Amino acid sequence: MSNWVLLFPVLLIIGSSALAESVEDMALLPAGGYTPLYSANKNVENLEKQATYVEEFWLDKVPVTNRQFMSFVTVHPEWKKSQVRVIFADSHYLQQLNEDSLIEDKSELDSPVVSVSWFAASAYCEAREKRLPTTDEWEYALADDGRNNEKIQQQVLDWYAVPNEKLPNVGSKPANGFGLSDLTGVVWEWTSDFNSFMASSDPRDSGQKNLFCGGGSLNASNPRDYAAFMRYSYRGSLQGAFTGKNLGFRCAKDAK
Amino acid sequence: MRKITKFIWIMAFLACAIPAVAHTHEEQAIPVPKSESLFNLTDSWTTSNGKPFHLNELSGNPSVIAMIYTSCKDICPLIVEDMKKIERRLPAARAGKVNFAVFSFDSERDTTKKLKEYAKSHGIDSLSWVVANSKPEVVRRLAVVLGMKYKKTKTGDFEHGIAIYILDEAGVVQYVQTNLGKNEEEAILALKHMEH
Repeated sequence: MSNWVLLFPVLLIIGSSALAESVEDMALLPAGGYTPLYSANKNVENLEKQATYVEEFWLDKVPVTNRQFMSFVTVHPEWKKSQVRVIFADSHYLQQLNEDSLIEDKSELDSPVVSVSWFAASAYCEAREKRLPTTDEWEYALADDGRNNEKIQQQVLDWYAVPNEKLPNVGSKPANGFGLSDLTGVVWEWTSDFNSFMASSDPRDSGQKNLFCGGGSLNASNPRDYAAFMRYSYRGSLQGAFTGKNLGFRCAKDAK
Repeated sequence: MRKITKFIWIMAFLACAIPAVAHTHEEQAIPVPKSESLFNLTDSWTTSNGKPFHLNELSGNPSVIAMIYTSCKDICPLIVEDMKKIERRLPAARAGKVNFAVFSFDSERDTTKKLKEYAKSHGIDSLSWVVANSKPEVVRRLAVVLGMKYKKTKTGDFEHGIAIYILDEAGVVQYVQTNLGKNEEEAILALKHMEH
């Protein structure tokens, strides 16, 4: 009973902040598509026939922060690092937090939360009546409707090239055309269907015959987009319980 | 003196027993699965008989499970055939003591009715078998736990991995069969190891 008394104000605070989050802190992306790395479907007339066509959807403007994730585990203690099941998160889960899942370094409160598994990220989004974006939605958001494509690729490569320093606060870089920040340059992000790209360790075994290294990679829609190769192969290597100190997430929501 | 001792013993027993009973009751209400068990997934599925189904209903016996969809004409029937082969090779004493379950990738098209037709036409409409569907996010969660990759294509079909999973009675994956049509020996062996 006493637990409930304590929990109640916490619920109120978190409940109201979650509400504000979904309205102000998300951007509405129009329906559309992008040219994926793995197939050159550039000349498709009908937008909806594009393999990567996505419906209108909402996406968080910035990645989820340590502060937000900490309030989530307060209400859902099964996601504290002391209580999480090993099937849902590996031993590095929330390594930036202490045993009570609180942050030691207060300057990291508004940095992206990292070392979260796919299961934990999904649970966080579901608790806010959201979901993780699909890989197509995420790539579409990054492609930014073709605005400054070369520049985006270069930014991504520059970021991949330097070792990660301390993670900055979210939203410290300018937003893209959709109003989204930090899609590159800060952390990698989980997608709901990260496990959908059928690339095995040898892609020749899988459905993606156009993408293995060497001459075959010329079949990719843009062989110079090394950054995209890296993202696709990284996603293909992930497991749901995996956590990485450069791997965070943001949430999405259907527009309907 | 003996009477007093006895009395103390009884009081001590009562004092301990009451909270102990309450404690046991609590544990029974929410059995905690092994940390690496599939039964940690508490999502709700619906069977081909229209009944709600949870993974922990597979507990107590080993299980043979796979993910398929019913409009898949080439690979999925072979997966089911291999599962039936495993079922046929169970020793008579174990018949009905191994669960078989297939979970659909296709939340949209694999309705309860369609699953029932499928179960009937493939001869898996028996008590040992569960054929179930659920919401896309629930399907995804099971697939991620199993390490099963899949993608829905624009035609509504699915590209997916091929695997039959053997779970022990606690829901922990003990063996994965990934090549079809020839290699059920290992699966049979894995099940044999789980006999008591």
